[in-house]
Amino acid sequence: MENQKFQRLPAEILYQKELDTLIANEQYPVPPGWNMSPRSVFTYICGGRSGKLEITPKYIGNPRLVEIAIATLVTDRALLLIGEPGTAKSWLSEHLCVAINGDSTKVIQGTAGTSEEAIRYSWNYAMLIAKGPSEEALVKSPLLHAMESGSLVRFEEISRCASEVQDALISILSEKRVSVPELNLEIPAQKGFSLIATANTRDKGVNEMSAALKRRFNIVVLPAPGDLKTEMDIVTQRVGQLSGSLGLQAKMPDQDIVEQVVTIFRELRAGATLDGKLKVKTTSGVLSSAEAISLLANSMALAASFGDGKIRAADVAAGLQGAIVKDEAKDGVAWKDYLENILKKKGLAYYELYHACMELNK
Amino acid sequence: MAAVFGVRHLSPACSLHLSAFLDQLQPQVVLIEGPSDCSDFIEAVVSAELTPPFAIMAYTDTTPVRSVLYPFACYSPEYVAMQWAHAHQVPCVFMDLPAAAFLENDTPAKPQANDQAQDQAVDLKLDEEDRWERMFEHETDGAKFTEALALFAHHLRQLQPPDALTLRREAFMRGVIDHYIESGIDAERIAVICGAYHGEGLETPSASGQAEKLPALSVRRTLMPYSYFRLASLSGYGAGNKAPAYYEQLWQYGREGHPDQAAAAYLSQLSFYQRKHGYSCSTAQVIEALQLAQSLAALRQETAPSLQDLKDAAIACMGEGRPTVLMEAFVDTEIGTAIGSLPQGLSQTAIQNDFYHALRTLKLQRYNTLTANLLELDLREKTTVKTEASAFLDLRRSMFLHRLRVLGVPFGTLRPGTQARGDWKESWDLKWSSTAEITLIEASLSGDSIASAAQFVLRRQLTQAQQLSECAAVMEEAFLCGLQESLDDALKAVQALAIDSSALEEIVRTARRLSTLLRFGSLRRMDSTAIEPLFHQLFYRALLLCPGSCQCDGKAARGVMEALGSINELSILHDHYMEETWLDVLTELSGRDDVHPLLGGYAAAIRLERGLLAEAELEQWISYRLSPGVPAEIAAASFEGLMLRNHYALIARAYLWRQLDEYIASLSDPDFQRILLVLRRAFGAYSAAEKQAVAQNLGSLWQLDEDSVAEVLNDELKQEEQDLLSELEDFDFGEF
Repeated sequence: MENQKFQRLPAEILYQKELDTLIANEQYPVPPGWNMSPRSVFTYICGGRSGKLEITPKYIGNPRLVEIAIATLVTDRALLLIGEPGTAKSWLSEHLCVAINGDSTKVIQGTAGTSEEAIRYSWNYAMLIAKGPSEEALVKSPLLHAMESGSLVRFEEISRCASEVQDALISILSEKRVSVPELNLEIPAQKGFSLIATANTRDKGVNEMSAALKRRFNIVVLPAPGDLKTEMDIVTQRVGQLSGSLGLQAKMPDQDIVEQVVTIFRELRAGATLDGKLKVKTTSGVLSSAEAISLLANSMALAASFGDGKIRAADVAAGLQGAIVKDEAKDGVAWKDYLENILKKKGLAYYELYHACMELNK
Repeated sequence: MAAVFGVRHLSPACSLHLSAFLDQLQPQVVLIEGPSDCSDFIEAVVSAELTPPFAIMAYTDTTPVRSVLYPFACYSPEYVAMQWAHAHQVPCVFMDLPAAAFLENDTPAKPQANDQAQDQAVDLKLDEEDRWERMFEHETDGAKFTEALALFAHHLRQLQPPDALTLRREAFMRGVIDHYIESGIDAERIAVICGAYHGEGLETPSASGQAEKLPALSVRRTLMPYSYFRLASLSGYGAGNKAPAYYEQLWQYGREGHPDQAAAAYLSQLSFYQRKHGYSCSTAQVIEALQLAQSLAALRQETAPSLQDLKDAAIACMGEGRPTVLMEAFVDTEIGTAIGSLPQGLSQTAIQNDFYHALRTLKLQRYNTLTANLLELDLREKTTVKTEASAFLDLRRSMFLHRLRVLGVPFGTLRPGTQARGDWKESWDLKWSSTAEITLIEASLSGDSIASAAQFVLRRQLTQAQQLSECAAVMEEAFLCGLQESLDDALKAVQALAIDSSALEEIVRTARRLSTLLRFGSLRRMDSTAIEPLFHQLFYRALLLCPGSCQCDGKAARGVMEALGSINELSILHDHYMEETWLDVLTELSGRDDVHPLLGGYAAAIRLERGLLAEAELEQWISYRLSPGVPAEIAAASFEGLMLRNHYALIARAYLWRQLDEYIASLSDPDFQRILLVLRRAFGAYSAAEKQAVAQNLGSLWQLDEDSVAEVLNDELKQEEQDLLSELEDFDFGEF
């Protein structure tokens, strides 16, 4: 297959069969501009059954959030997905577009260098100089294309754009039309147009969004995985994939080690022990599942390159120290506090890890 | 067959359809599921002076007090039926077993038992109340509603067959209905209002005519004012609504014939609350939230949004996706602050009963007078008496009085000064007053016994506490009241707040309080196992924070110094607690240049006192701190810190004074004036004898005759010396 050479395929090709089945078995009314009913979109994303086909769940987490996201798009309001790094914001927005439009390719990838032209329109300057302003010389942004075709457009990492650039969206979202004064032209949005934006909250280099812009979105905050088991599953699965593709010659980490790392991450992230009995001082790092994954992959690389291929507590401890203590003065105290008051009391299973960590803090 | 109308307690939709049902049926008698021995309250209930929410309560008059409670709100179907009967002058009675039947068993029966059963009915991944609202509350067609509820009750009854008590109740109710039919009333015109669950049970004819044997248990009954807060099951009673104020609105709008306006009203109230509390929240956002809520409801093929839809929509549109932003508004709008009131003189609450009972058992009756009487308590166990009850009589009295104090009942006043926290002696002034009685009745809103009410009040204080010291205060109250559960709650709260606090002094103060509880816990017979780990955590945290906190200005240094002293004291009191780590911290403090010199000196002083500062090290330390060129203030502050403890040990070390002398001699005049001030303050804490010893030290250093030095020192001050001193008083501290 020709597709095999790409690192990653778009969702509409990967899940084509599921999409076709859902459309074929549609039972509920389909909103204008949509490929399937809101209920089928929900089934596509959270999993279920359509006809004889088992639909795999794409988003593992609180289904209520998915319901709110879909209901928002039904009311043709724009949707803003907020969350810490690694909480499947882009993943969810891509699959929403695929299910609703069968097309996830209309996307603006926000950076600090994104200009207003990338959001509205720009010109083919050769043609502009040769022929003067004309519709042929107009280079439409993905957003403008989506308005014309009445479909969804994704805006990734919106908070990384400069605030002035973000604010170009304000009037577009309320008036649902873009004016091109050079051509004395107004391009109105067809029914079915909407926008899904994603934004990071806890990161360097993000710009605060203006209140006026936020007001134009319905906001859904995506949380970190809800329970220990879900997160362990995600971590184990991804570490396996990573070590496969990187060709690491180490054994997969034991479930015990995964559990210990994920437990420590979850407790420090939530600011409380898993049983909810004790509060824990939080640290400045994000400590997402993605970081747990890279920490374990890193430990595997350490064990494979310098050890006997089996991950030991010391391999993990160094990674933990680096992931958790980002700000020496504050995080250092919090981490020592955690080691002494929480980890030490977790009993025999954590004994080795506790000592390896304490060694680094002498 | 009587006309049975199945209801769910506290459901506005049921009330609406019930009104229509009664209007249509025009019954000759109205029978309501409720304790039949409480029927005489109905007259008071429908009187204009009563404002819901209220509750009918029955309780045993022997200890332990068990109680059963029937709460009503203005939208309760039963209340609506009583009002209807009153307005149409139709007789109305309760038809269930007398209250005593529910109090026979040790576990108080829940009047809304059928609500509990729904928990297991169907799992739609929604909580029970949301499920109920989605299925029934927004149904406006009376016939469909009744049919759906009957079906629901039928399935429920199959999933959860009635237990023995329920069967007895239903048999009893059938008996009451039969009684009215026999008395000549047309069966069709007897309205029976009962939980939908019992509908089928009442239809099956009585198996036998055998009269129900009524329980002989003696119970007291009362009407009592209730509150939405208590109804919202925040106070532990499961049988209530989570959102009484919202349900009241559903009821009001439904009665006016605009049920669809409740959703808009709810969202507007949220936005009102937000604006009033300084958040921006526009009308446009309310409209968008309403649209989103409707579209969420449509996703499930429902006609109107449920409370959960409204809340989720409000979070997405008005709260930037964060529930915390709207949490207070939710509580205010859903629960509200409504408190019921009763016609005067109707209330004889369980808590009053509990109070008088306690007076009897604690032998306090003779103090129940209008004049104040002194009561001296000795909390220690009395070894000369036989029973455990009398061995700890005074302790139990103390707990009782402390609980009343927490409730704000002005019965006993603790004499100040006698309340050293861990002390075994307490003096109280006891005095009954009508205010005490009234506050006691008010306290019935918090609980049915003194202990449970005090526990409730403490829990509320705890949820409102934002400062560590506030939580610690609640913790001590719980300790004094002997309420183990409250103590555990408070410890948890203290732990949670302590984690976020980086103020050394506050943490040490809290650790001190914990230490008191640890050391004197056995006196009050409290379980202190949970305190130990928390004490350890705070203590360790204080040690970690020490180096950072000591880098402070002169103003803060005094407070930190006190904290250092406290830590040292705690460490000694608790059997040299974490001594090694503590001494490491002290060594670090005394050696560092970047901590406030006063604190560095103080740390050295503590080390000296603990015998861990060797002669050579002390000599080196002094000479380092008093090196020529060290600014006068810093040197003096270091020296002052060192001098604050163990005076005699310092006086005995001659080299210390020699070094001080050499340092002072090396100073310029202005610097000398500055250091003089600090030294004068430092020596202020020394007694006359100690001062003399210092003078003798210096005298021998300067090879002066001891006696003549002493003479000069203890002589009256001359005029010029006075002047010099008063000049010093006006000294400009400049950069100090």
